[in-house]
Amino acid sequence: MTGGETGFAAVSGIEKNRRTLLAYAPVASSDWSVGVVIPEHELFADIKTLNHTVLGIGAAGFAILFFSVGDVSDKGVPAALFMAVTKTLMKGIAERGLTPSQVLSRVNAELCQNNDSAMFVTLACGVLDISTGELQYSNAGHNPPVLIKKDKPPEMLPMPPGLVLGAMEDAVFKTNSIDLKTGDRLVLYTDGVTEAMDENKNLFSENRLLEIISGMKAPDPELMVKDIMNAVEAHASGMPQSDDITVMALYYKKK
Amino acid sequence: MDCQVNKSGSAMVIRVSGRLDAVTAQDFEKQCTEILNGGENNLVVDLSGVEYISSAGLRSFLVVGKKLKAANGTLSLSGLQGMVREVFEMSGFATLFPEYPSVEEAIEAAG
Repeated sequence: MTGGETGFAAVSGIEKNRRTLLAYAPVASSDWSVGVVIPEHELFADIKTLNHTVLGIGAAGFAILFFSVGDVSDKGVPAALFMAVTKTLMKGIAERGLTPSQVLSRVNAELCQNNDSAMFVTLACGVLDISTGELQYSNAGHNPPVLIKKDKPPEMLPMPPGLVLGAMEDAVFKTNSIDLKTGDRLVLYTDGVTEAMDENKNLFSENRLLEIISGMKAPDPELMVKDIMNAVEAHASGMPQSDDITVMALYYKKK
Repeated sequence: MDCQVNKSGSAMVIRVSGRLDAVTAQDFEKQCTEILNGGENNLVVDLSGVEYISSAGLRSFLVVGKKLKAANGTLSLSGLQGMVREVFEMSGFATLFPEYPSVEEAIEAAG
């Protein structure tokens, strides 16, 4: 979470979609690229509307990519502050070369201190070794990311069990690992996607997400997040949504 | 969201129905807190009538659970189904509270 997170606002070519008030920010190197879609107020920190999404990408020497997507319970200023604290902790702790589950354990221990308001964060994070394609990842009560192996149908990444961050000091986290090959992709998201509601309160659902991703031709992660957002928006058909929607797509393209 | 509260044995049974979201979770938390303040510390929450729970809804369980823990009480669950079960399992909250197949078994376990 070194370069990318603070780099979002400075990334050239951020495209504002006036209809959705969302911003797209592509981040890339020669071996990988990431597309993200995050609520606009994430970028232009307005304290009144600060959303509750935690999201970070960073590259250390372009050899290791650390990424996370999370969601803070509740809304408003206290939730925004909790989010800011979580981001700062993630950034500081992830830079120490720990496994994803070690990062989550330490962040959790910090968040549990004096957390009288019982806020919590769901978070999925991963560390990708760019040179080998090994992806280590861990889970704190978050929605399972979608894994798209090249030329295969998308599937939910099997997540290790893990409690949300900030709920219990002695919560245990585990690290899973898979090998990514050239052309493999990963989509992380918040429950604002799968729980987006239409006028009859039908949820967008995991199945619909898999369906949309299944139908995608272009591997470009920026296009992927846009396609997902458009599908969610079409489902919501203008209904006000109670949750923020964040999507991050990662494309591994090392030869 | 609607809560029906009944005393049964040594447990207070709260039957929740409807949606536990950012708006209604506060109300649920308030009702539980009032029960705790009345001296009860064995709560059985029946979720079979809940169709949707958001993260704010989960948070109210954490708040009540923490208060009960401090009072050496218990919060037991029954009736987890569908989307509600998925949310409790995905978030890890299912590991925080004992769950029983029925309200009756939860009451019995409360003693």
